[in-house]
Amino acid sequence: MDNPSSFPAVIDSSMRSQFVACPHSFFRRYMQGLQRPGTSVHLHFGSCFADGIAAFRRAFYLDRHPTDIALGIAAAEIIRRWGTAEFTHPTKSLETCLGALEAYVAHYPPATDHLKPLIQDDTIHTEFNFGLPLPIRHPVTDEPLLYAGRFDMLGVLHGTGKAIVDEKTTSQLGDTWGNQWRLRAQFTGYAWGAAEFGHAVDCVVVRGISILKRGFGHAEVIEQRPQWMIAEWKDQLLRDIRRMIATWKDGHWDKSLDSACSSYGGCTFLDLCTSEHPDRWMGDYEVSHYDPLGSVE
Amino acid sequence: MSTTNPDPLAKARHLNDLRQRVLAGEDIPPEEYREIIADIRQTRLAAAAAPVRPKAKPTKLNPDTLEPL
Repeated sequence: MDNPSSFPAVIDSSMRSQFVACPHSFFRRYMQGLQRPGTSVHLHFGSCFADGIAAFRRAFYLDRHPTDIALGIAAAEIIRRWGTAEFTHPTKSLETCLGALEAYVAHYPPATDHLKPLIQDDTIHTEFNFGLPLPIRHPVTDEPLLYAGRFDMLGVLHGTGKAIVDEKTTSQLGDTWGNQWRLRAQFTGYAWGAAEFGHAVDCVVVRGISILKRGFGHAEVIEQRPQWMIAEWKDQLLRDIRRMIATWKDGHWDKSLDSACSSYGGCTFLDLCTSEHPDRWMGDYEVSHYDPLGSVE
Repeated sequence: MSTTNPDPLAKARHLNDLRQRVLAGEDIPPEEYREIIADIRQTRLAAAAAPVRPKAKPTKLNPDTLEPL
């Protein structure tokens, strides 16, 4: 197996998560840049929805348009972002993306929403992006490695405390949907990133929107990210990145050979790992190197 | 506000037509986007107001005769 001569300069939560779940899948996706051809309907839908909500918030809170005008502006953004994409998914379409926007605003009317975007000096803190240096040097360039994150909004909850806000579109909001965020490193990393920019947050608010055949469901969970949890996350992140570098130097990317191979409908690299000759299946993949500081898609 | 469900096919055609015009670079009046949202809102409200049909219970059958019990 060819070990790439380069190592990523930027790490994000998805990369760490995949490395921890299965170093081999990390190697395939982030070192070799492999992915299945085509656009994921789930990523595209979620990304268009997030852009629509961000456009709505700018129009309503910053430009002070009435709700209906702000919704029209957000709809224009979603239609433009959706572009030429065509999918055959049973529930996720351009129409349901617009429907999810309308239903979200009806469920959380902005005039009375307990969660509002932080606005300082005419800047609205939606689509918060960051890339921060870590105390680990790149094994080739010797530059500090960067940790990147992007979340939907830095908000103010009940008019007082600052909060990380992220919306998640999903197929269903079951009883356990809210439990998955309690320790989720993605959000602890966001809390660290916000604090580094002077915005220490009190909590993380995750809003789920389920896209159903007969409508939309809504759920909101609020999770704490105290200082000790952020410190523990950062320590774990650095340990994991050091293991990434050691694995890259060693050139052997261990396989999980367990539940990571079948979670979320099956690992995208299952065809490679179940073949004695994975190179024969490489034509089923395209090379597209991931850029955590670039587009979310 | 009326809660009549707009014709879903006509709505889909309208949305697709709007999308094609956006992709072609046409300058779309803001009212058209608001109309789309108004249609979508009407559909949601109509669905919420519609009575939910109870699911039919499966009939228990006699396993020998396959007649209802």
